[in-house]
Amino acid sequence: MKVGDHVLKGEIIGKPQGYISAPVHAPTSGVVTAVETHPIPHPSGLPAHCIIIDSDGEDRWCELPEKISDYSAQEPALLRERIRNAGIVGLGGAAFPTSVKANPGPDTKIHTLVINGAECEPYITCDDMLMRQQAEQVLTGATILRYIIGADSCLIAIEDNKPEAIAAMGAAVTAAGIAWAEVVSIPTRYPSGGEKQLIKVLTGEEVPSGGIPSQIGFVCHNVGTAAAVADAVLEGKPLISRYVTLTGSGISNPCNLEVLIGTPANELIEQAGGYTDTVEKLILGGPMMGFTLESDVVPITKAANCLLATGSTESPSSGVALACIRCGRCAEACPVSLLPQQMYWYSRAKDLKKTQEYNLFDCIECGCCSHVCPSRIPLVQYFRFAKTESWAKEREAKASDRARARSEARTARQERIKAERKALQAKKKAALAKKKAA
Amino acid sequence: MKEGDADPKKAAIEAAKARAAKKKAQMAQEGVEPGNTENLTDTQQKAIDEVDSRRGEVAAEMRKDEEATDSSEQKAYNRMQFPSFTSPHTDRPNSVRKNMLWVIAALMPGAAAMFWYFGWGIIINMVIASATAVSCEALVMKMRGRQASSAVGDLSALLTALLLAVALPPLLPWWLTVIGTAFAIVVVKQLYGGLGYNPFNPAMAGYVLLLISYPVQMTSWLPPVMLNENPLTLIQTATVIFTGALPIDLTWDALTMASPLDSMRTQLDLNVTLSEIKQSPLWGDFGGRGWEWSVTGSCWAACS
Repeated sequence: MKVGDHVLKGEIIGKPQGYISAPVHAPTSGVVTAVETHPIPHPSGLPAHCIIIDSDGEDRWCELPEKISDYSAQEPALLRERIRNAGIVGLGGAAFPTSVKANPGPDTKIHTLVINGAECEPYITCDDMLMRQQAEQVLTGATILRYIIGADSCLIAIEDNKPEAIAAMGAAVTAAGIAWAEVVSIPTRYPSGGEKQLIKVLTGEEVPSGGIPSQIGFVCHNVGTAAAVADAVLEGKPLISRYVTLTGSGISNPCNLEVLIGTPANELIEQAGGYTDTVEKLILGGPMMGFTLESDVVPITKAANCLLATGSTESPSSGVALACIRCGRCAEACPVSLLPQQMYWYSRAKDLKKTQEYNLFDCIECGCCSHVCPSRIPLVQYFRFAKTESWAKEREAKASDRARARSEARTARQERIKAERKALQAKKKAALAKKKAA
Repeated sequence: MKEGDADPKKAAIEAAKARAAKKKAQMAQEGVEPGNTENLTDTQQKAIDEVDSRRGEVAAEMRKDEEATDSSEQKAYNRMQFPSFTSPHTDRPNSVRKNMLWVIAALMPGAAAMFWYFGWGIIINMVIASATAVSCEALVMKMRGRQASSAVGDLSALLTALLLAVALPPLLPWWLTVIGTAFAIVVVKQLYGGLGYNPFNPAMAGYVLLLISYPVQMTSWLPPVMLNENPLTLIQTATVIFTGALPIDLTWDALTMASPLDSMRTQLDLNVTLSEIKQSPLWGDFGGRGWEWSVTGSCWAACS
């Protein structure tokens, strides 16, 4: 992309790098006015490369790939390719490429496709809204995904505080006359929107430590992802928009909006009536796992499910962290049954090995332990620190292993060359001696 | 026009030129390049110009709107800056203070039963211990250069004091209560780093110190109210605790008695059977008389 290029809606403007990656498409038609580093919504707060498009207001589509009306006549691999080219990633918040998830491998039998309509976090209602407005689209996406991964049945899980969504999805299933899909109402309890937690709530089965759901025959996709898959396969449309919840007492008119990817957050907030006087924090995501944005001039990304502007009484500062009093509430609250208190002590002491013995890497960073901690210790931050530190150590160890292997190979090679040269010299000498003798 | 007028103008222009050159050099040094706007084709340049002109129009329109509505708010929500915090962004339900309050509340039924059976001494001990604990906590925090109010405010020192107070004999001389509590707070709690860093329970460590150092005073218990022929009033109890002076006509032997467990051990040594021992008035329905309900009260509160 160059400054001055004219792009059309749906054109690829960013190519994927590697297998676990997805392309980015122009969300509307217009002119590229800059390719520069720009603040993005990322927990690190670091800016990244962005393409800035000045829309021409025409919203003109580019030429889209052919529509596939009968997807069941197509190879699953072709459909996966299509999903990949459409830039579809998990819209629940993790933004993991859907084509990768829809490819469990030839040796893995998937028996159940789980469509996740349990909202990620309190406050967020974008999935609810999507199911109410586009139930058929979601169901079509689920049908396609089921075909691609070869699952037998499909569970559509919706929290029981969304009766309209449950009714809409139920009606869609009945209307389509589908016997293999079932809408399941689950208790509204954070963090059941996490895929491993959701599978446990639905079936009682647990994904093994350090594993992924496909190991026990499940694949889980968000409702938004399913709808995007339907769009991509049937219409050939890439993923260029998503539902975003704008909420919190800091926003004048809380609402759900269908938003083009890349729309600046401040424009959305303006659309929702602007900030109220009590606004204090702007959070991307929910109250439990979201991160604060320092500026609202950031683009909405595929992973951005919610803009939460909280007032001062809604999310008061937790104050200074006190010492751990070993009350054990964190362990009671942990949905993964870890011992946050132990992991906290070892993270603090930088005893990374010990934190891993306590299954640090099974921590889903849901924030329940931090929420209930009477000492207000930022436990999740300690765990994130321990995780990243462990990764860095691992990388270092790998690099040093590689260096050692290289230097050993070099020594061996040099010795071999030396030996060969010696052998050659000896041979020559012998030949010479023979000649002389002759 | 005089010649002198032209020179300062020229000089100003030269100065501006120099400033521009300097800034350019500085930018080059910092590695700032003026965008990738070079080598544009004509059509691209045209497109940019178009956009720029449209931008100008939009900006002008917006300015007009702003003037019309005169809304400073609108300006405020364009490009807001926010502070940065870590998750979770929730109103936290728990605090250390709340935790300690709950434990204190749970201690109350048992403490009330003790007051019923053993009289005013329990209350006086609680007051002495609390005052000592809070002042020791504040003093040490001050010496450590920390905020004393937050440490006292978390109520952990108060809890330690109350726990120790209910474990002490009702007529224990005041200075022993002070020593035990001060030891618990200063040595067992604060010297190890304060709240959360103590390897032992401060109240129980204080109890152990007293028991080892003053075994006679620590084992002189009042009989429970129904066996006590000489129940003491508040004033009498306070006098005993603070001055050691017993009410006229009373001796320590008349006031105190062996604890149920001690009596059982002695009797067992004398080859008296368990059922015979339990017939003594010292024993209630299912434990030492008076103790049974204090302990039950505490257990009930702890479990609920």
